[in-house]
Amino acid sequence: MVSTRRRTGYMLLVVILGHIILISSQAGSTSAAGTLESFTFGVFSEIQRSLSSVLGGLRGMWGGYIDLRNVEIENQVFKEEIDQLQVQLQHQRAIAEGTQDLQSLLDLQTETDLPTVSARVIAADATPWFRTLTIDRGSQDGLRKDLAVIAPTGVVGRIMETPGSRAAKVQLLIDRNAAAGALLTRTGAVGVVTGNGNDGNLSLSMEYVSNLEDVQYGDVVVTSGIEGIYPRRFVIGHVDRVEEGSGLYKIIRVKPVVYFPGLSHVLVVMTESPPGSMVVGTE
Amino acid sequence: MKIMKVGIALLVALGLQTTLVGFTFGGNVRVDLVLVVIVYIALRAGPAVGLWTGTVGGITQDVLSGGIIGVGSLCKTLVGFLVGVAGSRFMFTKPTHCFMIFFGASMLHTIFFLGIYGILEFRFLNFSTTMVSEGLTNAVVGVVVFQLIEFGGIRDRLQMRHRGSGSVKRWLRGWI
Repeated sequence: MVSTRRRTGYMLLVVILGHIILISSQAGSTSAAGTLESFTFGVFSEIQRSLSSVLGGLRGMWGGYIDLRNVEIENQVFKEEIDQLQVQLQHQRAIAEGTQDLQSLLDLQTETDLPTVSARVIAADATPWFRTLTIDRGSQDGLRKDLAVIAPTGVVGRIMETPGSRAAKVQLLIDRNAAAGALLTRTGAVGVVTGNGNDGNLSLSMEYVSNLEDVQYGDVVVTSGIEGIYPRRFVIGHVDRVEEGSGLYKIIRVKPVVYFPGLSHVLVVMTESPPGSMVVGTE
Repeated sequence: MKIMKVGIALLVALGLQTTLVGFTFGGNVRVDLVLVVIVYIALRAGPAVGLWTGTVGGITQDVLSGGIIGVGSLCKTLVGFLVGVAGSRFMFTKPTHCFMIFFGASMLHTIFFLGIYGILEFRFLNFSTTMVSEGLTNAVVGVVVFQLIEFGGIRDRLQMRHRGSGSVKRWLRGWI
């Protein structure tokens, strides 16, 4: 008869083997665990939605009944208007900057009306190792993989994987696996902004900027749109630290303009990928 | 019944992790409530239950977080098993002991995680101070959870025995 200790040992071996097979099955394929993922995400997003509603209700009791309720509703309307206006302002600034380039001017004719869908954040990271959010809009609202997600102040991230019917997972730009094409507005130097997900201070890195480029503290970093996900010239952040790299490229740390822990509402940009743009893997 | 309790504990931890922690701590302080629950259950129920709790909790977190499914789960399975083995051989009753086991388990989890991702991504991932602070936060939360639950159990026993305040004093002395 097999002792309990030995049986547990066998169980551990079987479980480890199962994990190795599961991890291996995802190598080179993003859809191997798709069914499991979409099922679990679908179920849990409903729980998160309910929890979020309960929490929202509790907040509402504090904010709505104890404070002046009408003032809060009015404030909410104004806040949404301000959000929309700030997005418009960003877009107008993008248009103004784009006029320097004739090609940009032509592109902007199609980009003037940036269609967006507003969404509420219903859940944050499930683990401290990754930086993701869950929003209350899904495929039934027209959301699909790789749509850009923005906030009034700047870029938030992108929809990762195929969304559930009523919820979608957003990979934040600060996630360790996230990346976006970027450029410095002052000099036009291009690079790639990547997340420092394991970093406690929620910063970004700008990579592949030559040591020969002039980069200064405070330079504004915007999206270049080269990856075909994010709209062009939307603000990512400001250069927080810059050092000469030992190789060909500078070491640049970027402070994002979006305060990620404070996000409660976001906008999903409902555009097709710009024609001719190159999609780079960010997973 | 035990499976249901474990399931509910994991569900509550995941719910709190995704709806409260991310917003409350503002991203500056990291805590892994699922890991805390796994370590607690492994300590109380042994290696087999710790192993399966780690697998289920880890895989759910992996699915929700967007990383490679199975990496976090494998780390939590190993941690659950090892803590379960330790829990079945040694007594962890004092807060200092609990703190050590929760902190050690968090660090072990971090090492496994960095190691597996390092192998998969062919690069060396640095161990940062944020990870140590996460371990400390996990340990503090773990000790609080452990003591709160244990306190409830001991208090109930004390009430049943009608021993009076002397036992409470002894129990309080045991904390330090």
